[in-house]
Amino acid sequence: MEDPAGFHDYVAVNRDRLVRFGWLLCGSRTSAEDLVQEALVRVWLRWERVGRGSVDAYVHKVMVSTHLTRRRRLWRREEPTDLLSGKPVPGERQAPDPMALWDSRDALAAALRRLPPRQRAVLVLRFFLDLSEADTAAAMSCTRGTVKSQTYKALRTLRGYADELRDGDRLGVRHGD
Amino acid sequence: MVTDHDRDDGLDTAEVVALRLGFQTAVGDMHASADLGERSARTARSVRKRRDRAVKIAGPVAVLVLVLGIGAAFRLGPFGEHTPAAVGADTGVTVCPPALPSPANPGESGDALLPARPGRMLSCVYRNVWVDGASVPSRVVTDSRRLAGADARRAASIVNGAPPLTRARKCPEGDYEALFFRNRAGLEAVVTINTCEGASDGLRVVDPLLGPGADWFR
Repeated sequence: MEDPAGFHDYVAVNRDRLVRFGWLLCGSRTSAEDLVQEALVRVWLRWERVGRGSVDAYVHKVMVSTHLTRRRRLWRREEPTDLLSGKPVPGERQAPDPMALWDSRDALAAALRRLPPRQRAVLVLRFFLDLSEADTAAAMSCTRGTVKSQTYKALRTLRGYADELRDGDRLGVRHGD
Repeated sequence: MVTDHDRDDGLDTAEVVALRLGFQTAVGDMHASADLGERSARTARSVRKRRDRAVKIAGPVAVLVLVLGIGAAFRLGPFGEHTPAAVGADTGVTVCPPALPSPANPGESGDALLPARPGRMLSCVYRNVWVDGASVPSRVVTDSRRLAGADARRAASIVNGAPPLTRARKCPEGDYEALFFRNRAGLEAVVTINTCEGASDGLRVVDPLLGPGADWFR
């Protein structure tokens, strides 16, 4: 049985980006590769029907829906993560500058873990893959209104977390004195 | 780094820039396994083989099931019980209407609509779907399912305790899913589930068995 023409070219060009996207969705390297592989299997099986121009959109949609479904099914089970908790690591540098709050993988991962899966997916689709509201809505099978509200809520949560980090930093300075 | 989308949305651009940079920094040095494509292709090939094999044997099996099913239909009630008398304790609908019906009696009286132990029943799930860029409201979706045992008891508890529809309209339109129930006496109920805020919208969180999306915010 032969692989569809162009499949391996597509994977070669996009695999890093997809794994990065997967990591931002689920916070674990292992889960990210599993997610990408699951999406690629489905793409392989529907390669002719999906059409070359729509492969990206299809893969994004499959990854998001698979991730959310998996979260729903397995929410009671243990899930591997690259970090131990969502709390700031003691002694970790906590920058007061809002532009520098998410300047490390750990800080960003901790922040993303504060978000419900759908809100996290919206942020990653919009600000990592740089999709428009309409494309994000298509990838998540929801309305543009939902994308807007989820984006707003996610940013609000991150803002609150950033404030916590800043407060913690200030307290740390006082204790240090 | 700020796109037209962001300006259109009125987002705080500094915040968005920081987030974009954060995403890029966090994953910039991450690389996929070199054999990811080959592994995926290998899995897909085996899936295709299994499917092809299944299709070959599915024909005769389908005929057999059809014959047995027609025979059984003469003996079983609408929910699969062995005698019509057993259906007396059951509630629900046997076929989901394609569009969400307006409940004739929306169950605001506070009376329990379903028995606490309802036996087997169908729950019909509806949500807006997008067809060619247009929203088609409240179409039945494939998550509609037959419930039994503890799942059915939990469904009955949710239906009986669900708040009136008017209290549940805080999410943007389109962020709702609905469950439709009808009991054997003809009483109807629609339980609305929001998918934008979960339990914080004044509406209970519904078990994943009952509606997709309801537990996305746990």
